[in-house]
Amino acid sequence: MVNVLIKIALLLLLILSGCATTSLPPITSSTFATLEEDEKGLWRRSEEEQRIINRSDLIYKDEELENYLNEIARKLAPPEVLNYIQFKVKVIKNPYLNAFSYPNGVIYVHTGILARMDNEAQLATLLGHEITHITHRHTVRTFRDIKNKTAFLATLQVSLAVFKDDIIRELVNILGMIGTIAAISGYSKKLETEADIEGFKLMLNAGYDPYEAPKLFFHLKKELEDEQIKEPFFFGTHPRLQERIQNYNSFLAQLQYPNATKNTEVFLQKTKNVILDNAFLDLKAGRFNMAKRGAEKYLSIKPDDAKAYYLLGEIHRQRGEKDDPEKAKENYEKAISLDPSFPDSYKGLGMIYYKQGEKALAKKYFELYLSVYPEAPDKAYIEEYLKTLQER
Amino acid sequence: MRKLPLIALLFIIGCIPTPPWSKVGGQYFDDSQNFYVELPKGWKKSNRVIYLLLTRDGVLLQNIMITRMDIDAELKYTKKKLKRDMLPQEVAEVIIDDLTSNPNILNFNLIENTPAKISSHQGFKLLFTFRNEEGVKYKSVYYGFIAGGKFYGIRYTAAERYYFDKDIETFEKIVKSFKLLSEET
Repeated sequence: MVNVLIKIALLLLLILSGCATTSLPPITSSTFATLEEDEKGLWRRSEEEQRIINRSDLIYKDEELENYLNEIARKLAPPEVLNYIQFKVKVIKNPYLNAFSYPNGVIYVHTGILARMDNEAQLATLLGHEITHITHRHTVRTFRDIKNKTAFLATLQVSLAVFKDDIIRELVNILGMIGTIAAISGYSKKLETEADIEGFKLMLNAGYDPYEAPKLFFHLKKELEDEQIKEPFFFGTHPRLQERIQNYNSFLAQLQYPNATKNTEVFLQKTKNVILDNAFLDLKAGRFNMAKRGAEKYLSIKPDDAKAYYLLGEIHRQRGEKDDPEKAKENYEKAISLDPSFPDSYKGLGMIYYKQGEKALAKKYFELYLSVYPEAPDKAYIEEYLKTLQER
Repeated sequence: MRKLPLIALLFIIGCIPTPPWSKVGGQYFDDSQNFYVELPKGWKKSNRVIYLLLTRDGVLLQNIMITRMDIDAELKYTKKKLKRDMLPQEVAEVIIDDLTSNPNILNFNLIENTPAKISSHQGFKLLFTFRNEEGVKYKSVYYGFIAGGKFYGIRYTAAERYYFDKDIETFEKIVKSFKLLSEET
């Protein structure tokens, strides 16, 4: 038994000597001196990955929006870190709800999540969360944690050969793969909670309405339920949504901020184009309900917009359920009444009438489409429809 | 006892794994996928997938795929569904949305989207370029049509530089030879 204990002690020593600490002070802390060597490597790697993202067509280009997002990030960022980190927010064309950050200060926000928010306070909640990932060095801490756990398992497996005793072998067998993954996931959850708490403090310090923080997650939860998605992307490794809403509510119970900022109007003006463009992306992805919600939200900000009515027409035409063709027609017609020079609504109407066997109306709208848009890229289809209509 | 060597031989033959690729050329009947095509010599067919996957120099350099799926089947990247009564342009619209919702397809650029006749079926032809995650630029031609309850796709993809032009004629010959073995209902 004494022999076994000595061997266990030796093994633990071996494991500990190979482990890098995951307990690093945040960049906001007075004890922070400089980046660690492996951290510098992660920054370099981040830059390489960002180069690939930035040269692809994934980036949503809207300089005014980017400036606005960067302004909010600067407002939230603790001043003491600005010497070390230049925060930069970029938008990615993607309808799914996600945001992520790199350790060097670059934050990517999907159009999907931006389009669902109601105001600047909700945006500040999200950016505060991502900024905390950066200031609290979560990437290097996670990286080291995974590395240590891998090293731990590797060391343990090699060292197990030393033991004839089955005690440790059985412990490892019980833990197994699932236990290892659960341990790693648990650690990540801890960091996510830290980002929620510290991010919440940042939005609070910047004067935002703290009651908006849980609303962001409430909207997201509702949407996930509508789409029957369990835990996608942004929430995949995070504490579960309901848990997060409860966390925020418990912070709020201790606060009283009746006149804090929401900045709803400014936010909606700055993000309105994202809302419409993202609704088109939702349509591409076949998320008809979300696309419809996006188009309607856009119309509540900018009523009488032909493109938004055209989008509603497209959503109904492409979904093709019971009353959809009639609803599509109404929206296309509304779009045409608002802007007769916008061609695509004529085509939409032409296609519906063509399929309904309304030859004269189909012909009328296809011809109108080509007269407004003689160089239409789908001209060949339209000419074929017209030819078929002539033959019938 | 004399039967033993024979049994052993059968056992050995049964255990020989199918090679991942086999040479093709000439007439090709695929009863399970309900089509016939004329295949070029010097190309290889994958034995690892249910659809027809061909290449000459390697799938990353050039490949031809002939796929058949139930129109009710879920597409990989868009939640949109194909429907029997769709016009070829509407089918093309769904296929384009599926392609552009694929996160591995970057910088998608649609060059052509036109009606096309495949065998006797009304369908579409797409011509487009894209980049993969490594930044390599590819060019694709994609023919598709619905027959009965099935969607058929005939697609050629090759590295835009050098390879695409090299085999486009071969691909078009394959498309011209394509026939359904029996009409889908």
